[in-house]
Amino acid sequence: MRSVVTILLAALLALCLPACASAFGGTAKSSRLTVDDLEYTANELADKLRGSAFLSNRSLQSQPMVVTVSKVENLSSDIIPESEQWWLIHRLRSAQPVRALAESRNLTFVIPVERLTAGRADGVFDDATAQARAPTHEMTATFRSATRSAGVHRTDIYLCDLRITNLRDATLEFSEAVEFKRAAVGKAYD
Amino acid sequence: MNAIASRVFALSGLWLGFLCSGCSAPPRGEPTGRADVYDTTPAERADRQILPSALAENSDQVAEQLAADLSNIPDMQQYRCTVVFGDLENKTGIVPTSDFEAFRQRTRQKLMQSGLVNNNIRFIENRARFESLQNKENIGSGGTDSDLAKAVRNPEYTYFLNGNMYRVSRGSSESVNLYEISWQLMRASDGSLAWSSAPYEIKQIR
Repeated sequence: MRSVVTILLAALLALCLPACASAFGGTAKSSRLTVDDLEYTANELADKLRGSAFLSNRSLQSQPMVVTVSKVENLSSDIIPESEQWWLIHRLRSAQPVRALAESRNLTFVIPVERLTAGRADGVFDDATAQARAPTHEMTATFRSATRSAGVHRTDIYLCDLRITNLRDATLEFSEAVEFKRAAVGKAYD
Repeated sequence: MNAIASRVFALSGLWLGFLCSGCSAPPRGEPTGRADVYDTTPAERADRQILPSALAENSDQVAEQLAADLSNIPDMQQYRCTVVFGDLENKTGIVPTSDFEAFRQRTRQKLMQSGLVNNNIRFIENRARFESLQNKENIGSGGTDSDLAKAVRNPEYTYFLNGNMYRVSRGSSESVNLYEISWQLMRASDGSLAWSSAPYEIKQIR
């Protein structure tokens, strides 16, 4: 009788254990950033920018703010190609809620200096375009990470902070961040 | 014996009931695989390095403490002072300085959420990055030598946020690690310490 009870209890415990194992992504094989992570980061930062005091304290009567963007700086252990670094910051800049709010807050986005330089070299933009651009602020973000590993377990903590900097005096006017972890189990050759 | 068996069956039935009630929950969609920064994973638990959740906790505490102590720093009552990231003294031996840099950014971001802090403190980019930005944009107002930039960087009202990280380790294969982290605001003009955080200590036993 005792053995039957023991088996029954063991079976119940076995039923419960899979729920615990899935707490950190189950049997994920990689802790690299996924496409979903990048989309999540861009959406979260856009929401935070939209809801920020930095924007809500401004109005149409505020001093004009001209914002240029720089590609995301990657200081993480993961590889983020340059095209994706640009994609992330463009996604933030062109997020519909941010654009709509920018219009009502006397805030204008201008093309990045890299694109202006390339355009001038190709003869697309003239000198007048370059002179009229005159950004007052820069918007960029930095991806950082910290890695912990032991045996077959590895975890990467990703932190991405978005900043808007005044180009006249270096003051940070806005700073927000998104942070999350990715955990993986297994060997590289699994 | 029968009484014990019936009790066990009753308990099992209750347990199964709990499990089955989970089945009727509404669909949650695919899990994202992302975990919260405050959660501790098996890799972190078994690693000798400081727990990221401890770094996050320290970051929260420093932001809260500095915001609360602002009224005790006379300069910051009179002027809107400038704070720039300073030196990190990492004596842990095994934790990369970039980990502390990441969470220092986080502290700044937390501080900038406070209206009170923003009224008294202005955070600025470091000199190298600012000069590089001005060169890139060809603003040509002299970089950090412009009057505006000089006024913001007046050494009398500029403070460096410095950090110290230490580790004491004992046991076979360093199974016990004590970490201590502290932060200070140092006046740029004379190197005096205007504010220090309470030391944050965590002992990790693997």
